[in-house]
Amino acid sequence: MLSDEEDLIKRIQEGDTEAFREIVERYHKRVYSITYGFFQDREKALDAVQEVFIKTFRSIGGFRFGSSFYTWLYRITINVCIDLQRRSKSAPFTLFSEIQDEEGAIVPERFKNKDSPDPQDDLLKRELRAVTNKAILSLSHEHRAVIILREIEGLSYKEIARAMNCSEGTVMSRLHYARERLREMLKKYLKESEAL
Amino acid sequence: MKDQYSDIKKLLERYYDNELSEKEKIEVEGHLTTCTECKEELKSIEGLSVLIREYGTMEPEEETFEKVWHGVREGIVKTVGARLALPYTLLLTAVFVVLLMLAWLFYPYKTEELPEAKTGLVVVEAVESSPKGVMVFNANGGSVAVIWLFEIEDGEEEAI
Repeated sequence: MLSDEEDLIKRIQEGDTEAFREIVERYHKRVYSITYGFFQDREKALDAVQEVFIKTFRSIGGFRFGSSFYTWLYRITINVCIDLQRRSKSAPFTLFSEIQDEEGAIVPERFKNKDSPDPQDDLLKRELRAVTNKAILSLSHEHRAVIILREIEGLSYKEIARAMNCSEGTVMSRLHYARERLREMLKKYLKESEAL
Repeated sequence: MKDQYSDIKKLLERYYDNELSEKEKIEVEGHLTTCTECKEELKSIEGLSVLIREYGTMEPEEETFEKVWHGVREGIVKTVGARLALPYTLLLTAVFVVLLMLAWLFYPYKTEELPEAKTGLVVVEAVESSPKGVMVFNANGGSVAVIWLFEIEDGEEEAI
């Protein structure tokens, strides 16, 4: 008896694009959260999501149900992110000084939090987003991928190892390094975020 | 005490990630009741996690799915188009190669006949020297020898 997802995959392998639409609908938010985590930029994240699903469609014929579909999809996602990042020459982060300049109002749209009624809170949240953004982007591809899969997607070490094609020991050491570096960069803000 | 602190500190991340065995988990939890430093360390790991989840992510906009699907569908059409076109491309290439081979085999070549073929003369020796050059031919299978003396003027040959 095939599961619903296996049935969908079989149909895609037979060329059913409607079945693929259902897969995209089911997974696009999870893929987006990884690509956004990786690029910290909406446009780039969206481009990457499209690329991920096009690649998935192209290679789904070779999927043999040996591993779970989402681990396989995450592997494609991480590879696409790394590939796109290598192709793009400049890192897309906003400088902290940019969001501090209130008079000049150089605040990118993505940092504006419309839900927050308190301007002080709003400013602090924008600041926290910008510094977190910058800190994540300062990590190497591999460290960034590990921290996103663990902290945002909540994958176990075993799942991360499968998605990244490395050992659990490598996952642990990359995660430890990434956390140490982020905690160092964000130590000033770790307490402030608790207050919000 | 110091050793236990550093041993437990190494386990804190895995404890937070729920990656410890039951035995290790009990050990860490027992230690946390007495060690303020480890409690602070764990709080810091947790704080970072919250910061990343709150500020390092972004919910996709409402219309994201339609945008994504639009781009993906275009990519799929190209992929499918290329897959469908592949056998035809291969077939056309094969036909072209076969035609090329047939043309090579059956093309009626007209090569310029060599002097030997026209006259039956075979050059035995040729010496270019000033003022006259000499060329010796054999004809009729070697029974007749022809000696040709010629002058070379301004690059043109003139037989005597």
